[in-house]
Amino acid sequence: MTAIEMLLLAGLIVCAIAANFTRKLLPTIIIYAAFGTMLSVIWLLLRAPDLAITEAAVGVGIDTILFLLALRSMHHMDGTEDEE
Amino acid sequence: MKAPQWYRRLERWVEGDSPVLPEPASHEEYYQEKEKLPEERTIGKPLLFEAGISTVRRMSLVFAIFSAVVFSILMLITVAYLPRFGDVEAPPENETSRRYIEKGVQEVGATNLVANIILVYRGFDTYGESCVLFLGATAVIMLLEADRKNTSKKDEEELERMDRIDQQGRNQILGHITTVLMPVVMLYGLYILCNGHLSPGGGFAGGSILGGALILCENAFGVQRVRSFFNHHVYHIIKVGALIFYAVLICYTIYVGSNGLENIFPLGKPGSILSAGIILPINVAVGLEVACTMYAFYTYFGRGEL
Repeated sequence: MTAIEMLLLAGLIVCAIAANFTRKLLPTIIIYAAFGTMLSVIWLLLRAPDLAITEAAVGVGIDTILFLLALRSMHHMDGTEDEE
Repeated sequence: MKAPQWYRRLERWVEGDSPVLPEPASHEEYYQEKEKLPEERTIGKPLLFEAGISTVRRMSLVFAIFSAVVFSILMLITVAYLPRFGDVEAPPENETSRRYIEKGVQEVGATNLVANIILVYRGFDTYGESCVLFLGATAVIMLLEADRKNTSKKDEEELERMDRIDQQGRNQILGHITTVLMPVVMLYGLYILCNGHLSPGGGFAGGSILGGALILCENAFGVQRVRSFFNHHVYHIIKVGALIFYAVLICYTIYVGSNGLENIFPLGKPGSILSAGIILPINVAVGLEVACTMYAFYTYFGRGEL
């Protein structure tokens, strides 16, 4: 196990815990995206490039977009409040 | 020690004095009660809550932590029993996987062994999964579709406001960056899609990247620009056409393979772009379908229509 793998695994654990203990929803989504990015690099190092590409495209890209859309429909983001 | 109130109530109920659930209140009383804090309510309060909400919360927190710890320990024990990474004696190391690895390229023709397995050797399973995905996407879109007769005035105003922003022109920085980035992202998606039988990737990953590119385009240039080349007619034609194309190809392959007939799709030279028989067309069909689904999810979620 190389140093970069150790670093990424530690980052995964930190992100997984931080996502749970963040109070606001927007930072949680961003932390989750960071988690997915690190996971996709780990898949690459474990010689599963198929999974790495899918994780990067679906787990990070599409999931984050859908979560952000859900936040926008719940009016939880700045600039999307209802205009009175 | 004084017995808690809920216990005394339970005791009275056992003796037949009072009902265990509170008497149903009239509508006015009910709405007055809803104004109060949960702790102050007297009507419609479940029996368990007589013990006090804080106690219940503390108990559920303790239970949550306990179950999380127990399940983590169980999972870690299970992981300890898994075979070591790359173990020759591991159960998956049998004649099936050996045949896939040794004869896959010769029999199916794709140098990406994963594509060989999921699209040809296990093609029927993958086709079933695609049908399930198609059905799921259709159901989600049915739920998200905007009903014109059931739209509140506020939602309509919101949509109008979004359209006005579209016409005034969106964020300049996003527009310029997208102009530069969009062809590259599209090209990368198409590369992963069409090279699925030679290198890692394939229909699903490539299609997600194409769908992401469409979403980026919608964000930068507005929905009208995307509608000029991708409206709901195109969407329906691509989505249904791709699935039917996939079904025909898979049925043909299964029929030919089980009857020992000769396949009309040439296997070609392994490693060249036009090789591996049905894998390339299937990858393209799956990719188009996934791209359509991703973009449709995005627009239906935001606007309720394509």
